[in-house]
Amino acid sequence: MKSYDETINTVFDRIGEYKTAQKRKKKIITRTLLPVCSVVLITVIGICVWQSGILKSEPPVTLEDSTVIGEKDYIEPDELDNSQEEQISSSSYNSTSQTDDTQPDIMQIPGENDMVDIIGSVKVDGIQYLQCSTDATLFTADKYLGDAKDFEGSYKQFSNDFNSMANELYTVKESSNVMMIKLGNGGTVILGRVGEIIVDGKTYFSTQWVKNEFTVDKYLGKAEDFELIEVPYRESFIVPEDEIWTVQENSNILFIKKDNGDILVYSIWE
Amino acid sequence: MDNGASSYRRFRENGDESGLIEIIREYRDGLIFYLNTFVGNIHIAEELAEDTFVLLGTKKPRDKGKGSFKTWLYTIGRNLTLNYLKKHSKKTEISLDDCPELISDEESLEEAYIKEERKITVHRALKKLKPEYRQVLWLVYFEDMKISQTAAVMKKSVHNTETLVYRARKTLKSQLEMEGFVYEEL
Repeated sequence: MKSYDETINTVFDRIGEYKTAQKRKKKIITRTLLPVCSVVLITVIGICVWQSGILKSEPPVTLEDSTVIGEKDYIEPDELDNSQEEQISSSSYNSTSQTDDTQPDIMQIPGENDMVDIIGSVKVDGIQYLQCSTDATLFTADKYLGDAKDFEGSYKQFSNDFNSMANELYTVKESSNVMMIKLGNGGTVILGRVGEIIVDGKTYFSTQWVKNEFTVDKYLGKAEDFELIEVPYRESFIVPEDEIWTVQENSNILFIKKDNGDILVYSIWE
Repeated sequence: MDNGASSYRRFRENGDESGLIEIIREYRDGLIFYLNTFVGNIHIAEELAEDTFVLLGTKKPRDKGKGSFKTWLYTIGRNLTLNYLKKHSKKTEISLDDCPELISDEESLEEAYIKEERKITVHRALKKLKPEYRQVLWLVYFEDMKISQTAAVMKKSVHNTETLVYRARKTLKSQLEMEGFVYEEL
């Protein structure tokens, strides 16, 4: 049997050992946890940054998105000369100038001199047609109108690029508001008539402008009273029951009022 | 020292080691004898009593103050002993008769702790009873615990403990009579 003092010494020795072991455990845990937490934190931050898309590079502009099919896969910045770059900076839908002025600019139609992108465009009998991404096989070529280079638009403007090719312009059987161009390289481009409604001889198209910037003025009638431009497979925001209103601030802007009270802002091409 | 509670509080809250030393001096022997009623080996009981004090010093459990400090301490010792018995249930037990060293150690502790010759005789007779009787009689007759305190340590109801004390006392009396003793306090 141990004496009291021996028991006391043994008990305190064991308590001391326990405390030392606890300290060692704490040290090990701290040493292990710190790097593990750092790695986890870095991983989480990395995932967040990756998910936010900050690191993603801009994809090149492809011709599929914009212009004549089949010529090139993308546009090199060097290929645009200075004048074209200037045109880009004063693009038809210039949001900067819109914020500067109280009244938004009227949308500029891409024309012979101010073609800022190489979206295919032609003007036939004064009517502007723009390339759309509709499936070309949905349409059948009808009447041959001539070479697209002979009409105002991108094919004439960039005729140097198309010199070696004949780009045949056709009407289509399915719609009078659609044109077809059969490219010399075998590709086909579909172009739809610009705008959705014609009011007093002016063609209006949908904008994303805010209605609060304008004051409603005069009621012109229902949409069905005017000529609606229907392009097959292109979404139109106007239905015959919609009401057409002018606005006080600008004679080239219309309000299209829907049944449910929603108002869309429409502007002309200039 | 008020039954160990203030000593333990001093140790637990202020880190005063003398508090734990006081507890060891005051309760060691009684705890060893009590735990010996479970394990039947005074050296193992001593180790388990030591484990109980080490647990107080390391985990520093909080005495909820429901009973006396002694009751609480003995309950901790009992729990540790039951855990020990679970772990070592399959191991062969050494008979006391086969180990004279154990007997002499126990006898010397008896003389130091129990002191009275008559009580020492009763204590030796306890060894021949079953463990539960040994435990309850130790707590009631040697540690002077009330039935309620004994019940708390043994985790039994007061009624059960009373019954157990009655039966244990009766068995012990017969045992002593068989050995030629008459102990009127029983």
